Amino acid sequence: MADIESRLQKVLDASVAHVQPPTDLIQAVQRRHRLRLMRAAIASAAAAAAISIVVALIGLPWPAVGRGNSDATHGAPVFPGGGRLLFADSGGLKWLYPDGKTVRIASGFSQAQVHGAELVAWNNTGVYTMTLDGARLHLAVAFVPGSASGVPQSGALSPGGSRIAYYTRRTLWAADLATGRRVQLGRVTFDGWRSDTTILASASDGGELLLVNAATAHRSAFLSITDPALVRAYQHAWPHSAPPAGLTGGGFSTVGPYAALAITLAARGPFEGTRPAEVIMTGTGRVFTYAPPTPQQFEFSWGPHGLFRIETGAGDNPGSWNAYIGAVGGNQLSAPIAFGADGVAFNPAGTAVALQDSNQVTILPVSQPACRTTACLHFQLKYLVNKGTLITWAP
Amino acid sequence: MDAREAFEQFARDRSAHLLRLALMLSGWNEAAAQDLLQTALERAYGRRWLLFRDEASAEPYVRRVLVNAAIDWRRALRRRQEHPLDAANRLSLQDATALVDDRDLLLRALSALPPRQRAVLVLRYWEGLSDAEIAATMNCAVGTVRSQASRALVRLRQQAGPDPAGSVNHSQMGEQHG
Repeated sequence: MADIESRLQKVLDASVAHVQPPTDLIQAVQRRHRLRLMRAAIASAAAAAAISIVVALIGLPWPAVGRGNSDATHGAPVFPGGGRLLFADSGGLKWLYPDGKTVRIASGFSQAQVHGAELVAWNNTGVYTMTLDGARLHLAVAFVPGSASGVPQSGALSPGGSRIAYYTRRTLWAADLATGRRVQLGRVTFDGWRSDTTILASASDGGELLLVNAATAHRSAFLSITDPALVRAYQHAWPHSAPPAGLTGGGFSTVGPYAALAITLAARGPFEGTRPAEVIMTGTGRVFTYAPPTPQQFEFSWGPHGLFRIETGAGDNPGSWNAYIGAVGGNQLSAPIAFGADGVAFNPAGTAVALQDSNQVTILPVSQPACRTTACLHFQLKYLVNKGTLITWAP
Repeated sequence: MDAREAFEQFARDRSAHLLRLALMLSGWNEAAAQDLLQTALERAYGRRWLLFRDEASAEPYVRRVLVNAAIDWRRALRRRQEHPLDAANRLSLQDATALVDDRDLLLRALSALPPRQRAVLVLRYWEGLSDAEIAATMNCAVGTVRSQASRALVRLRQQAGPDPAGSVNHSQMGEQHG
């Protein structure tokens, strides 16, 4: 190394050696975050007010009027789309109903999943089942903090509700809710359940998808990055591009006519991948590829009825983060939606979507062509602020 | 551990390192460094559900925000024709005969570099990143990183002078990294 370079290293080290951050840094960051959210909420409200004034002045009807979906000003629901929203906050889990009523159902939980008439929730003591109103609490799997199979950081219930997959640190586990038995599945990336006994996972090198048996931990190769169908699909989205260098599974949509597998492909990037594209392979053998613009970050999630959401973002500007809504079999994504960086939930009918950005949830209609029913909704954006972390939208 | 706890753990573990990085990127302006760090951490906090699922993804993101925010901050100062009281300016106010040693000369020369060139040197020689990682952080080509580093090193040699210990070796200028 040249003289100036070694001098530089020493000088840089010495120049900052005694610097320490203030003790209230985290509180200051969280305060700044709340202020930014408040400014965003005020700006959104101002924009909505401005639009309403313009609409009134030019005499146009409100978009919601005349389509039979309640968004009337008197007694209007706090959110359209029906059903009820499950939130988690510092007090635990709570339901929010369209009439604004909030019902707390279980304290001490921040993660949960609805399965039919049952709610499965987990915390650092274990996985619990309960009814949707929080009654009949039952400890299905106990966790011992500090143990190898200990506390789950995130979890996902199998389609039949008999198992839960979860991480402790970076190791994937599966637990049987009937017996409490846990199986260590290793350091793979969980991409979704294929059935009650089979998990779709990505290998740590991003080179292939695996099927992992949740009862035995047996792994088998499922799909490779070099698969010609994947390479063709990727290069259809990114013409003249080299073959993709990494893949992760977006999971299976198991809904009858919309059965499909989603795969995210990307050129190799140092942290978030570059030129990503979502490939959806349907049960009938058709392949669809989506590559929304400015995607430095890329996250895929399934909704009901073959609906899906792709979240993208470019650079460090929160204003550039966008969500796109699509549906299996559709060639087009929705127009970019500037919400949803932190979470998504579709209503059970697949006609509305709730998008979370920190403490704000924005609810908007699923527009055609993604909305394929005859009862597509039309309404103004609805904002829910400071309700907590949106977990799901249930019937 | 939920996303908020993971963020707080990350901030506790890494904020000293990140503040040091911010201080160098800002030209040793302490107030600006604190502000840059809060900006970067606030953005990470806003994306905590995405960033803290994977232990490896948060720090590159925060580093990237820091670097770009520092460059933007310097540009904004230049547009407003403001001159922060950073290391280079402070040195000029003090007793030059007592302070003009190797460290001060180099720090003053570093502070006087354009922000992108300073960022490249800090990321390469203090963070120990490869040129490819620096290119990804700064959203530019690897060749741009190398040319910026080369130009910056030439300027440092010109302004900071030879090594007081006398071990001058100009033949390795533009050493390849990554």
